[in-house]
Amino acid sequence: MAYLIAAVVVVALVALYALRTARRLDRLHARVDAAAAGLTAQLLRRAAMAGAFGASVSLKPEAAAALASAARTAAETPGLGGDREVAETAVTRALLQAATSSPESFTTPSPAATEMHDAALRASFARRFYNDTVRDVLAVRDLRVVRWLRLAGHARHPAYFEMADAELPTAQIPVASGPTIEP
Amino acid sequence: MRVGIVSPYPWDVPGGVVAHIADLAEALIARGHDVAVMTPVDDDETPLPNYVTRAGRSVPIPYNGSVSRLLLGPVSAARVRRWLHDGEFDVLHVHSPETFSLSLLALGNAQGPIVATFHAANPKSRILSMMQSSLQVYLEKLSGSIAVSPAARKTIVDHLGGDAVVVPNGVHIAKYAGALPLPGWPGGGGAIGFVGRVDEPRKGLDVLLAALPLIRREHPGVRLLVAGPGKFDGPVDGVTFLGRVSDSDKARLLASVDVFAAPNTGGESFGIVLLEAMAAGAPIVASDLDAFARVLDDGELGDLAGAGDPISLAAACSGLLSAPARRDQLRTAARHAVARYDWSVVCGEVLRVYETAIAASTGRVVEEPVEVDVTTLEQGMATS
Repeated sequence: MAYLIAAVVVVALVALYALRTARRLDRLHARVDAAAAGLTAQLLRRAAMAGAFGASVSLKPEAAAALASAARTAAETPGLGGDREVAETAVTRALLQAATSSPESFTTPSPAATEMHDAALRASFARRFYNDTVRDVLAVRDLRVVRWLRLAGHARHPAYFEMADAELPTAQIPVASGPTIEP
Repeated sequence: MRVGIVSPYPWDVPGGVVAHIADLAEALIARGHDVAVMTPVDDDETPLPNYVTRAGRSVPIPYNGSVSRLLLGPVSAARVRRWLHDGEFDVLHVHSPETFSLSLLALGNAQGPIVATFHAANPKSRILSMMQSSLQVYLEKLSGSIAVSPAARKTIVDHLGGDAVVVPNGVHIAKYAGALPLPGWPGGGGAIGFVGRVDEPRKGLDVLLAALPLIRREHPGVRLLVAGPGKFDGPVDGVTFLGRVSDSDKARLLASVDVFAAPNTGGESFGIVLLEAMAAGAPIVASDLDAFARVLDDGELGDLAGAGDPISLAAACSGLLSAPARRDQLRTAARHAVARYDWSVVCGEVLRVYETAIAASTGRVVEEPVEVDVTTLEQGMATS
């Protein structure tokens, strides 16, 4: 009898743990989907800004053409798979080439340069946040209880998104003018 | 945007994180955002800004070489949940959620777009690594993480297995830029300044006092101006001790010296005092800690000396006192470089993180369906 009670208690505890883990994983899957949507939106914005930026500032013709073509390819590549990683890295490379050949387009304050810088930063933030969530999901999917009881079900196995981030040169932030008293 | 910010430390105990939260809240409000801060408050009589909500009193527990503050009981959890409910926040911003504190309690009780800022840099934190698996259940709720420095980010990567974007600490440049020197300073014999807790060895006042006789060989008239809380073993010849000072007096101190010394021996994640000195136009000699070298651009914006080495510190201070042209050059370079750290700029970067985090989550911030109180947190820590 004592064994039976002990067995029932153990089964109940395992079931409770499994239930809690399943709920946790379910929520993480929802979070990774939202993060993927966020990343996709920021990548699309970056591609759109790259196109607009190339058109509005004076870049070297070949750099402008490379940027426009890379931006178009990236925007037309769906999903967050390997071909998207390649396409987004190409946008980064085109941006960095433009920054090397015409740095003044990036460092002279202009609305297009500000937007471009902002879009590049947001894409890199969104990518880091997405990868962080992927890591969280994979860690929970790797738990024994999840593997043995197949708690992940048919949920998509999320993958990290790897690409080169663009660290673009920016305009110098103006020195705050105040009642500065020189010594 | 409606922003809810949670402080792990009591509002009425001066500290870097609390000052950061107050500055951030005010910078956000200045941009027209709705901000609410929830924080422990130890003294019921403390006057609070109208955006601050009391969570209750904190109980100090030693953690990680300093003191962490723990809020006890379901009362705090209920207050946090009511605050979350009434706030209808677009984003929740918890600070130092790796401490066992109000921040972790809020994180446990909330879901939706949540951002965390990690302030600490502990290259060898065994406690943090040990707690990693139990913290994971809470940290995986974060939509985005900020580290205040590359060193703080490295701590997250190494010990918590996560990642963060770096948004530096801010400084209100206008508060420091126009300050007038104190009467009679800097004088002709050379003046060196120090700001920081005077009885905290890691702040390095001992190193500076040991360097002083060596500096005096070249600059016999040199004087030292010291401000900060703590017990000072004085008087010491040639040293003026001001005790704890207000921000405006700190600005005046920085304007009163020829050289600002930051002889810290370790434990610095960022070095906000360097930004204040740069904003005030005080030429800097600082220890060659990673965090300091980074803020000072490897010596472009201030001279570096060996950490904990009075001889090296004395040489650097003497050298700078003898070189007025170098001081002017440092002042100009620092004034340009520090513009990037003004709260107006830093606040924009924090908002960019908020917006990215919101875009990567669904809905706004709501309470968890089931209340998580401190005992549940403890249980989670023990079992998971």
